[in-house]
Amino acid sequence: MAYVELHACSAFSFLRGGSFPEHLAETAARLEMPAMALLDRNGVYGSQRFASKARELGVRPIVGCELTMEDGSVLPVLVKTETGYANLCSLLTEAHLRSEVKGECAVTWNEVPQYVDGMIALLGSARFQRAGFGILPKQSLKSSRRQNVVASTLQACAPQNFAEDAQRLISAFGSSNVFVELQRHFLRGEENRNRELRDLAQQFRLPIIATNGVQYATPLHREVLDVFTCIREHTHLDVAGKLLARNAERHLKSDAEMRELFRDLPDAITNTERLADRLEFSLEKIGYSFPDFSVPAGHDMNSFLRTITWFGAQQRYEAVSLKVRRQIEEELGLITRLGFAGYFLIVWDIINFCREHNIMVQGRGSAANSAVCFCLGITPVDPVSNNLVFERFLSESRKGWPDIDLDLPSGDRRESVIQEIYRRYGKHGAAMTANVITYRGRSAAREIGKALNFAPNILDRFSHLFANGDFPHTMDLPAQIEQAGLPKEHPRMPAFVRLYRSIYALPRHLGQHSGGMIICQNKLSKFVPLENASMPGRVVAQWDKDDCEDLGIVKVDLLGLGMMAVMQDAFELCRERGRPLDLAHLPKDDPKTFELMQTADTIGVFQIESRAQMATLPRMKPKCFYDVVIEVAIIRPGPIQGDMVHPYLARRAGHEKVAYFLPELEPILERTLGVPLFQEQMLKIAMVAADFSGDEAEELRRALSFHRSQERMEKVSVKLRAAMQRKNIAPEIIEKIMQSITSFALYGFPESHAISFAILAYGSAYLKVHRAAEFFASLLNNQPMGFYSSATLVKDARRHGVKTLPICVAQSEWNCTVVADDTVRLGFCAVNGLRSEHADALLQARAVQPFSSVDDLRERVELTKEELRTLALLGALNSFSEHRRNALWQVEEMRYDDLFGKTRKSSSRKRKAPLPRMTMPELVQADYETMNLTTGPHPMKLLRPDLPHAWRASDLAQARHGSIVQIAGNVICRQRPGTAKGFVFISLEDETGVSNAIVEPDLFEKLRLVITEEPFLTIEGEVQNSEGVVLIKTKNIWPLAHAQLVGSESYDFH
Amino acid sequence: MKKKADDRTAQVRHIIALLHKWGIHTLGQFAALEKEEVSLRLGPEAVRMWERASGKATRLLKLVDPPESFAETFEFENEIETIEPLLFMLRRFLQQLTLRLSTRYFVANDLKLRITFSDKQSYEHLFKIPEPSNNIDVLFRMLHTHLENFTSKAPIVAVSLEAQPTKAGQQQFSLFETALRDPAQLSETLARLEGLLGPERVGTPVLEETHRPDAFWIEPFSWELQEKHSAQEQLPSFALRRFRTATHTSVMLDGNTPAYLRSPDIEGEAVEQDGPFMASGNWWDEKAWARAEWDLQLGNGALCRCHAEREAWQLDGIYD
Repeated sequence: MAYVELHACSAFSFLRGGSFPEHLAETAARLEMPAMALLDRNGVYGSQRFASKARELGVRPIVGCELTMEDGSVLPVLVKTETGYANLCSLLTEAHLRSEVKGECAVTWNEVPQYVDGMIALLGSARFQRAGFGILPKQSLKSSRRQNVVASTLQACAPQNFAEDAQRLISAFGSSNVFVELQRHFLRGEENRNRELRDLAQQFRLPIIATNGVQYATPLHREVLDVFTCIREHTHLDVAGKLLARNAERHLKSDAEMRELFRDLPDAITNTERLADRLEFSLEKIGYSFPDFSVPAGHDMNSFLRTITWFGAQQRYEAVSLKVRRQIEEELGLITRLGFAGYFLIVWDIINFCREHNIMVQGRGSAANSAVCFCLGITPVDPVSNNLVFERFLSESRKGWPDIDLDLPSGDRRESVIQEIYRRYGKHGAAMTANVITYRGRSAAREIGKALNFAPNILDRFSHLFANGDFPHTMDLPAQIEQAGLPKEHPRMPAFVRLYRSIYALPRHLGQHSGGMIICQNKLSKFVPLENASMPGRVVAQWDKDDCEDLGIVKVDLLGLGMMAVMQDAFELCRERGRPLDLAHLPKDDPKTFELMQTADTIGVFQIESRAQMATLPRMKPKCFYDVVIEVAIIRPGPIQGDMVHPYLARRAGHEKVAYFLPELEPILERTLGVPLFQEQMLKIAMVAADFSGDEAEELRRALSFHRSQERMEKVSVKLRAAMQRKNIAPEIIEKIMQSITSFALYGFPESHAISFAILAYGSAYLKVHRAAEFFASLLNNQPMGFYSSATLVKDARRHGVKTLPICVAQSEWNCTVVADDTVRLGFCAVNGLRSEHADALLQARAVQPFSSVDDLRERVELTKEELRTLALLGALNSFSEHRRNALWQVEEMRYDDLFGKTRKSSSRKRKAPLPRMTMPELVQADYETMNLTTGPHPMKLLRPDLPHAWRASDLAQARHGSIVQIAGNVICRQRPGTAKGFVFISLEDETGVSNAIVEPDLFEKLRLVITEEPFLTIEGEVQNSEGVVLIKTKNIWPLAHAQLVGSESYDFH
Repeated sequence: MKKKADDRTAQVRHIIALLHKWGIHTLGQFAALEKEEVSLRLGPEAVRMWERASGKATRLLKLVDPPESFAETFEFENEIETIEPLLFMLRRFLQQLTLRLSTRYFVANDLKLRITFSDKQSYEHLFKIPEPSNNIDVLFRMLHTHLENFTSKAPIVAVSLEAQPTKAGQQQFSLFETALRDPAQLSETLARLEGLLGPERVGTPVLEETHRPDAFWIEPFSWELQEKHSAQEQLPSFALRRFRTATHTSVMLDGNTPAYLRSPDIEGEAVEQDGPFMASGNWWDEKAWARAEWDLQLGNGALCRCHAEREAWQLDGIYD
């Protein structure tokens, strides 16, 4: 009988394991282990990833968990049956949900007996391990001093009476379900403990098993574990001493190695496989079922879905054509066969809830490929008229659930939908999917640097210099660290580089996915343990969305889009002001809207406001809605990496001939001029050029969307290439097709998704043109969002003829309001440091009776001195005062009551304040200090007289191509996209608009700190003026001396 | 007392910030405001400030000397590679420093030497002077002894010497220190030893908190007794008589197990073995170590501990 490792932790034990679960599975397969158990600390976080890899490699995965007990000890358990798994999940959920600290939990001994059915307990070394091996709870270490580590460990962790402990486990689990676990790590003294355990086993007639208490796959990863120990214990390697591992023996060992170790106890080895055989549970059998939807009497779910679909069809299509009828019938048939009717009904129900509560909602993703979804109101995109492929959404060959993502207005409205789902399905019935936060560039480098005891200033400098450390385009890691101040030949540099590579992408902690919710018919907590999220009122599952998808747990994505909130607010404002609009009924061919896009005047417009989008718009010159769809899809890492942007634009402009990889691909690529831009086109290319079946195309789709696995992508690539070679396609064509397909592994858009986004992009552009005041007011009310700050939006509004009135205590509301078609009044929400409850009190008091003076305001509303000062400084009290300083003079006056409860009237009140009026620069500065924006002149306007050589943004269009010019302004955006090979893009705002500059990697490295830290810059460079897009190719940059002026926040490196 | 002063400073700063917000940037503008108005808005502290600004109140000026720094620095025009120019410069520094100290009735309590090299690295050493003094010869001898065998990888570009002043004759000595006939003698001897052996080899050994058996480091000699580190794990075992340092030994292996041990102290066939006990550490820098320990019972009944590190065997000690 072969040795089976029954006690291993992965990095999903968060700082207590040093390897990916997949890596453990691969190592187990290499060691020819027939099965292996993963027991992560307090959860099954990594079990699905482990199971799927292990199964693929022929290792039988076993589920288990290390439970932290109330007394600080650790109890390893293994899952035997489906009931055992449900019990483990329930037990973990109970412990996690009652814990007040996120990620920590403690199981009580009292609750164990009711959950033991179907589980095996291990009694042994784990219950005596030391802090260095990740067993000691943090709090007990904190309370003890390092000198007493060993003693305190034993006190805190280990049960004091082993026999009593065994007795307790036996009475809870039953003697046939308790195994004594022996570990040998070549440590002095461990045999004494093993001897005690063997005596115990004999005394209670318990079987013994050998385990290695694995914490990493290979000995090399012990280094990772040591660094994790330092992170966990807030110390560094030089002083961690005995907290660190004594040796590197806790790696996966082969049958031969373990047999050699336990040659005196052969039973301990053979028992592992015997026990493994008893552990029959597999994650494939968790028994999950999606909730049923209760339907009216006389209906089943299928018939009810059919009824409401046809009802919707009557409403949505003016006339239901034969083509539509056929499509709907086909879809309904497939949905019935696959048993997905309940899922559609539940999503429809959520949509109805949103409609009833006036929450804008729009389905995104491949749901837009379904006519049924269109009829149910899940998506506004009609797939029939847009020729979208239903199979992309749902097909018989697809195993998983269809993917319906709902875009909701971000903020409170989305939260109310999420809370409604919790309310309907209960705290144990619904949860957000997890989002595993991993160690990435800066965070990995910082933590490793701390552990290696690098000076804090080196780490700070590194963080400042490499805010976007994930793009090593211009420098390798040692060079980056050297720039931060550590010599390349530093003795710890090799360890740093080694560790960085090992730790990169390992899980750091569990966050919640931005919108993915999973729900369940019964208790969801029987299928996956649930935890409290750090956000109050949210419960999060221990698996991420890919794990849930792999296990067939259905997920509904409730994604918050700032622009949805903006549009909903804007439409409401339009309605209130008597000029209503509605997204579904906007004219689709408005020339002014397209003109706005063609001139890249798109600040604030959804998706097409980024610098890259703005640089493409004048070349693309969108003339119809489908052009917007392409515009949205074209500026994505996928098409950029696949080198497809320029061919498309060149072909569109007529500079390049439209050509196809193969003549038979023409029908697929015609719409995009022979350049593949959408995922659907990729799948169809694979089906036509490589004769892929629906199943294989589905596999390709999964690989494309599965960001986690490069390997999955490579496997499909090999298959695709071979299939094309079989069809005798020329090698250079195969290469081109392969390049365009593989580049889609990074975020290529499905066409339906691009259409959904284009609707919002077009809608927001339309609003900007035709309802500018409502649009800008809503944008300001939903900050922060998008690319630009409030300050830039206010200036852009002015360029579109919308004045922004300053905040006024007599006029302003909490939100910004529309005063006239060309005027917006700023709301109190823009004021820094004004508490919303104080603003509410102010509004309520004002509603009762308008304020007559500053004293009246102070008397009736309880505002803090600082809040009053802020309101005076930003000019909100000017309606009672001649100027801001006058108001400031008044609010500073001390108030006290006289004996009769009346506030003493100041004799000086009537008199004018002896303070000077603010100068223009002072006004601008006060505005920025109190609101981060100004309704007055742009700071650059004040600096302009001192900048005779700098070109204004609006004048740049006249600059000669190739000439050298200077531009100057407030930095509003710095970007270094991963696809731009280290180039940096800077946007400078002045009083006339925004100018853009591009910085080459070498210059960026030379002037890194100036570029990343200075709020105002002057840039000298060569004008690149092509097709209406002006870009300055930077030659030199220097900070702009701006005295005391302050600028707006910039949007950096997102 | 200090808290009160801090509060007051914070209050004054706050008032000044507010005045700037008011557009009051000069004393004249401030004095031009009415006292009652200032009092009504900014409180009593501002009134005190206003009175001073408008000349209504005076405050005696107190002369505050900036703390004097007794430091000398010199950057060599040409990089130097021998000790003589350095010593020459240090002697001149000492002359300057002692002169400056003497004029203020101070003596040097300790000296901090800093040498900067052309590769931007630097070397620092603090010389504790047992009996604070301004005697140039004594001080120079101390520096000289320390630098006698000093070597560096890169040439020297700059040197600085800083003296910590103290009042003469007021230094409190610890119990044994004063009993020394010549307090400077001990430190000079220590400096000489350090010069000969290297600073890392002179001082008091302290056990390291590490898994590495018997690892220690040297703390600079001090009159004060160190607090005892008691982190050693207490495992039931026989008493081990350690060889310090462990002696080189040759071990014949049978497979991976020691079969015969030969060392200057002990020799014999290993009849029983316990081990290996593996330990490793400091993998993050050049001090990385990994060893496999064995307990051996030899044919003659002796029980010993040995270990292999980088394929070399050493005898750690013999069990009682």
